Amino acid sequence: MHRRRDFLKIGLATGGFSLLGGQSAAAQNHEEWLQYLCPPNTFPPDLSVPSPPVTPFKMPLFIPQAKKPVSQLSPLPDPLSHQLYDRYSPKKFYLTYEQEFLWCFHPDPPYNQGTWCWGFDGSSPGPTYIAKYGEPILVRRVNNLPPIGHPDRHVHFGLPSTTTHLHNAHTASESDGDPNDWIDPGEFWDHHYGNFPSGNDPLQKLTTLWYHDHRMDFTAANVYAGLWGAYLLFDEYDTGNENDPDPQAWRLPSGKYDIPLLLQDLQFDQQGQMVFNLFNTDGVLGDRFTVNRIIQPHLKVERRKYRFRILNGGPSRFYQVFLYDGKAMDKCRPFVVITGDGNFLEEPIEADSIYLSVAQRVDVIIDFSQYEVDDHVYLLNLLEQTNGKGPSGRMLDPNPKDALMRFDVVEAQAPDPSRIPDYFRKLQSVDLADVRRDRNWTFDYDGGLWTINGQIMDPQRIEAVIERGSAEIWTFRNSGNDWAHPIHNHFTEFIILEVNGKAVYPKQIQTGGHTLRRSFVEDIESQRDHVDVFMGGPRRDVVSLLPGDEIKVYIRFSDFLGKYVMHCHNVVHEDHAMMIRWDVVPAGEGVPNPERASTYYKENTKQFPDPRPPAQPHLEARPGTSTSQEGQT
Amino acid sequence: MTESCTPPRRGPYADYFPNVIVYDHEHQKARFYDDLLLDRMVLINCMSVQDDAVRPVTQNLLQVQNLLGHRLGRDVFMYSLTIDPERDTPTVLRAFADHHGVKPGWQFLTGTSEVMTTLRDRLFAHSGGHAPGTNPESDCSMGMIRYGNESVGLWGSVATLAKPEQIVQRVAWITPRAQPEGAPRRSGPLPLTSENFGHRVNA
Repeated sequence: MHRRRDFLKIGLATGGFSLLGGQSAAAQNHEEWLQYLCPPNTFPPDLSVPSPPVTPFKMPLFIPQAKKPVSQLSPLPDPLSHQLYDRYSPKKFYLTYEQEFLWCFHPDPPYNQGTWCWGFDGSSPGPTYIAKYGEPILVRRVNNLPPIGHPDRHVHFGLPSTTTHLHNAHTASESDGDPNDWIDPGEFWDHHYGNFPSGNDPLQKLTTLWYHDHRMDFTAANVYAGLWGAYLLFDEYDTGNENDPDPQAWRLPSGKYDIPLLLQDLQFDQQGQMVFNLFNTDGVLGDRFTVNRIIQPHLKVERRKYRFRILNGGPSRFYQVFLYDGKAMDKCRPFVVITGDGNFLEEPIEADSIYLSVAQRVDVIIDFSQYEVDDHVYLLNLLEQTNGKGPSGRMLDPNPKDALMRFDVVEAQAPDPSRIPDYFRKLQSVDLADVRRDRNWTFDYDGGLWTINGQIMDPQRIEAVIERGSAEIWTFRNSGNDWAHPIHNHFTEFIILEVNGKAVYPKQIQTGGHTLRRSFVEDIESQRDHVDVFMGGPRRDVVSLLPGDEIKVYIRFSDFLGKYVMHCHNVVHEDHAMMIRWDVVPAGEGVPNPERASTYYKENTKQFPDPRPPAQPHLEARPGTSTSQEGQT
Repeated sequence: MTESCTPPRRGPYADYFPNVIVYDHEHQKARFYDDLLLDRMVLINCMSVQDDAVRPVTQNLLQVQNLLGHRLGRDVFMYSLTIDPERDTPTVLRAFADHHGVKPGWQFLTGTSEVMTTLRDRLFAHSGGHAPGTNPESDCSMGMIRYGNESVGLWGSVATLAKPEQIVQRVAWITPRAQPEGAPRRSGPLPLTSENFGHRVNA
């Protein structure tokens, strides 16, 4: 039976004409119409009109191409625009274009007509960068998106003005993809990636990173539109060659057996185009789950080991994933977890499930030789989330049809030469003697905006003036009693010291129910530690601040000067405007309190030669052929 | 009153906004979508005369008005929706606007309480947990301005108490611009020795 409100929903979904067709004579006053137009309690939630259905596991997984370098860039990069450019002069140059194009999320109609989205070089996710420690690179990103007002612009919710952040590379400020370092259509920015660990400390190396748009106010919309991809870093141990004859090489599964799995939940309209509600400030959820921007794909896997780099690409959903065989949850085989947030654990551990808040990454090894040919294995999310607040606290019933993707096991083509080492690398040291300051960051809500210490993002206010070479202790506190905030800090990883008052020791990991476990149940066959839920290792770039949580971390700031940000990675919260700016300054020039950038740098002209106040806002759009760098807004 | 039932012309958010009747501080009647949003760039905030004494957002927006200059009322419009339509009649809003020196192009809007609540629900959508209250400190719509260009369907938000320069800067972000010509131009980073440590110079 259709009630009046159902009629309204159908009317809105089909374009609104049925609201009025043939009936306007009946409605002589707008009060009567209001009951159709304006249900008194509230409007239906965003997902009240479901995305068109699909046949799950119909389409193979899309695996982005490895990005190929170019021989040179024209015009040449400007060495004077980059810190430490000569010391880490680029060995390879890349040229990439941000574009709008039709993407096929699924072969079923209406998706088979193509969905307008954004990406890099015609690919969404964009191509994968394969980088090595000791081999600096430079990436030139060109914005070729249709400008606002262009008749062929289709992704209406995205702002075609972009800035690409390499999450969580140790990168100079000017190459970090600051929210205000944007490029408009027809412009480019050169990002220099030194590919050296923080402080040149080999213990601070990273492995799985991702690049994504970080535009002020529009990060959520632009990443949802498709501006993101993977960036993998290798070194002399993790060489990316499972046949490496070098005895020190770890020989993890490599090549076509090393695959990024980028998770994103999206919503589509009845024409198969992406829907993004720019008026929702809580968090945007989708009802279609994509892996590498394919709705519920399948992947043929050989009976051998694979390395998967699983990333929660948001915008607002949290996951807890299991390896489900389609029969019994208690028969789920564990993942072998080797990294958390792109950092190698000291030792691999086995985990029955993996908890991923937004932007968290985990590298896992799955050995499909423990399955039989023709077996189906599902990557299944069981964490319920019904709105942007965060997980509901309930678990979903397992149903293979709802799985994120399916692995279809086939016979191996050759013997499996890959290995899982018993030991990776030591955790970096925590030296409390280097700690210069303690800072507290409280995450809250006020007047429709998300706040940090009661403030919203002001790009001209430096919340923390930090001395290069020093360490600090930061305490992240969630003031909300039913909000979850995945908090991300740029530039450098941190070590978790305490979770809710409990000390964390080097081998500990965060596991379910906010508890920390040292160890665990030792798996008799593998001799590895085993946990029920893996929530991240001790070294991170994201902390999951669940309701009421307080987490204390140790951070060291090395090498570069300039501005960076810390923010909530529920990117809808970030855009409204749960983010702070902090700056690294020379040793001895730190100050304890927040400062306006113009004030601070005026008083420190020796190191920062531009004491001028910020330019006046520039209201008119710049002409398309402008070459001026002055006063751009 | 039947004009309120006219099917909205098609802008990207035509289905999203109710085309309800509102009145401005000049007692002019307007259809919210057709007359105020379609084909315009707008800045929309919520306020009330009484709350403005506690949280003085109008004072900040006056500086925005001045920075907008000749564009205010030409292609950029400011709307302040009262959350207190019982008290904030067009007459009260007129006195408030006159007192502040509000110029043409900035309208204070009121209507029936049902209409005003509906507009706030649409402009400041939340998935539960922030029921609009009367206390401006906890009200979910009082802290931010929605800025948008409905002809292209782009909407963002900025704090009402952000620096006026930063609010006005948003208008440039959503302003249509020409298809660029020629080879791509370098936007940055800028030479480290000349400008703001390699970064763009923004408001």
